Amino acid sequence: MNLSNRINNFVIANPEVCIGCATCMSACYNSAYERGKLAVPRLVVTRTASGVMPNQCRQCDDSPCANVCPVGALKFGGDFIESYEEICIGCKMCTLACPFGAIRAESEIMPSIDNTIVPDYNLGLESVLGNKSVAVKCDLCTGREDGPACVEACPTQALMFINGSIMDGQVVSQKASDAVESFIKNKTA
Amino acid sequence: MTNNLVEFATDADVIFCIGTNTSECHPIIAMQMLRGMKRGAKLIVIDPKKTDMAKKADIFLQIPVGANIQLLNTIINYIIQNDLCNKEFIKKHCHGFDYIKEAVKDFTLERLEKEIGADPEKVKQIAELYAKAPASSIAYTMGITQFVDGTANVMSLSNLALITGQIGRPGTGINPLRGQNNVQGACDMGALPNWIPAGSVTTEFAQSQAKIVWKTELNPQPGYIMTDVPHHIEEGNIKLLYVFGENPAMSDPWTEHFIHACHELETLIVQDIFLTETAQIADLVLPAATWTEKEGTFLNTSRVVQHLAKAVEPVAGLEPDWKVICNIAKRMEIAGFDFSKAEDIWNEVRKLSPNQFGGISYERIKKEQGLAWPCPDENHPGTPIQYADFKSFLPDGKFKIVPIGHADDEKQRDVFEAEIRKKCKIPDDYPVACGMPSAVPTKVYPCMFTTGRKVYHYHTGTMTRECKALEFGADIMGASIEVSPDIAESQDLETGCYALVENKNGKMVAKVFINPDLIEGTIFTTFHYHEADGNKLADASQKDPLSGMNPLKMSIAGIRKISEKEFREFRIKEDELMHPSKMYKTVKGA
Repeated sequence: MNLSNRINNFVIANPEVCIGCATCMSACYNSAYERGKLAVPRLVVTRTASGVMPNQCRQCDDSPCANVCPVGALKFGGDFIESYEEICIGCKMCTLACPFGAIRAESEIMPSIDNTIVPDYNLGLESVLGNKSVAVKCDLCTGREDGPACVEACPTQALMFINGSIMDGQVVSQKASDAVESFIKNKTA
Repeated sequence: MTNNLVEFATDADVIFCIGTNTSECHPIIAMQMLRGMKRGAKLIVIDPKKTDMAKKADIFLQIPVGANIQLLNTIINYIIQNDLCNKEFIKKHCHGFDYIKEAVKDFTLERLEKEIGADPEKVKQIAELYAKAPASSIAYTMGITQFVDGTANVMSLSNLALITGQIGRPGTGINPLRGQNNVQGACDMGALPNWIPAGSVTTEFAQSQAKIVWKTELNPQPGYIMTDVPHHIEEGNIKLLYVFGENPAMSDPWTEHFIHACHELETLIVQDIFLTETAQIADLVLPAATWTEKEGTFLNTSRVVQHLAKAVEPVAGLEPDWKVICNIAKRMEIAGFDFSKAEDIWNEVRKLSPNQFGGISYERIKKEQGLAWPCPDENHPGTPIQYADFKSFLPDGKFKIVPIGHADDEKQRDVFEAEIRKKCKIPDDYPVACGMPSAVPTKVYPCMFTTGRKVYHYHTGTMTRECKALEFGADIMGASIEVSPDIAESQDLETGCYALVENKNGKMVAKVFINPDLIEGTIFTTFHYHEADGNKLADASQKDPLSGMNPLKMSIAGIRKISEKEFREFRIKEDELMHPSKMYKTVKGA
């Protein structure tokens, strides 16, 4: 079977050029809002001792989250792990199962609530409004014509959208031929 | 900046960043620096926080808050002792090399290691890298300036550039990265108490230019400096305050004092596009047009005058700021405010300061996509690199190297400066300066307290916090108090708990975030959030003697864990201060 037909698409960042500007998170918020999804960012710029880059769903082929979801809110799709937030029951099993910390339980203030009249959310206490949480993760901006908004917005081109054919060609085949070429060259030199 | 910001990408061989969190505060410039690094430039980062740029740097040196002078003097001493200075440049173009040689003599690597724990090997590497490279560029921001010895810090950097001759060529220079798109312009245009576009009000040139262009006698007495304003209000010297494009109720040090002083004013006028915290205590609020709704010029960090075209008509017939000011002047029956468009004002600026702006016409900046001052006539190409002829602005065209000492106590500044003068045999008319800590941790306030920015918000969040994609998208962390791991351990704090930080100036509460990137014993917070404003704790009583700058980046504070209930109670009280009207509360009252 051809690799490009079998593997899921995914978004990943190059930490060498990422400057942690969080433009991707704003773009992600906007995309989610425009597509009628829960308006929260699905990738999080994460700082560690060695550097900074956004962290998001890897769209694992045999994904623990889709395996563990009891209601099918996370589902194996054609080329990524689909997420159906409207049927999520907020059990948080996927959050526990995800090895990358790429799924969070999040809730959103209803847009009809005007924060100047009901301002409690600013307090930072999630319990005050008693929202139900749902699992959010990168869904590759399903429904967005131009593909993932974060990739488009990244000012340093640190974020990349990888699909099966890129994986096949640029990543695997190219690296393989580079490696073989240098091996043969060294042998014959 | 002495040079253009693009030179980080195209020319600099070594980029020396000190007191700047470049990728969070100046992401565009950080991108230029990364391009430079890809080309092969080396990056040196010196900061109390291991910033994102520090993690990408070739050499990162973590120093305590406010230890700039000790470090820079040590680097200068190392450069002199190891014969790394540019002797030809010093001989031809500089005064005062012997003074500084004497003044930094005692700043050895061993002493620096003992005092601030800096690794001598790293300091050596930094000195050699900076001095030996064909083109080394210094970049700095508020981690250099916002101290009681801010001007001494800047002079130290200029000393470093002068003794190594790293100035006046592409990819070199001393480059303060400006935070606002037009802060260089605001200074050049005279938004300072001692300045008009023709220069300092005390100079003869400014006096005569005012007489010729404005047909008025200029008061040679500089006005009150911004940091003295609350004091002068209390003394009754200031009765009216007209604030525009600023939110001092959050951005001024010792916030509570400023707000208290504002209540003593007879009139407080605020002109802004949003109802800022300052506007909420104002007597009169005037609306303003936004930057897309007006035409004019911006003068950016590289001293480039750029044209700004109007994109949309302002809503509800609003006028641009210049028009509002002119209207007020006309009602006050002051002559000389009959401008019909922004270009007229710019042309007056050109007349006032012909040496600087004379050749920068609207036509040229539109055609040439901006021009860097000085540009004295229409045929002058502008000056992207200052001091390219190695001549200073001083009458004899030579640069002055200013010897800088270091005292342990703020109160000893004068004594120390006199001592340096005596020790190095410096005449009375030659400048000297002195660095010192403005605060030393005590038993009651055992932590160093400093402030900074987060990439997704700008200053007091007047605009960025109104933007949902930034407030709810990029900033999922919210207001927080960042503590170094050693403080967290000693005070029993964990990430996510609530804490109260306090000192003699004020208190603030927020969620705790344990940040291993901070140097030990340090608390870091932002000034973006009205609910947790770091400037409340800044000391407004101490000042840099030359600039009047308060030590916004260096205070001491104590921290303790609080319960959710205490947090709520404090937030309600805090909201009362920041948003006195019931209409604009962000927390439901108790």
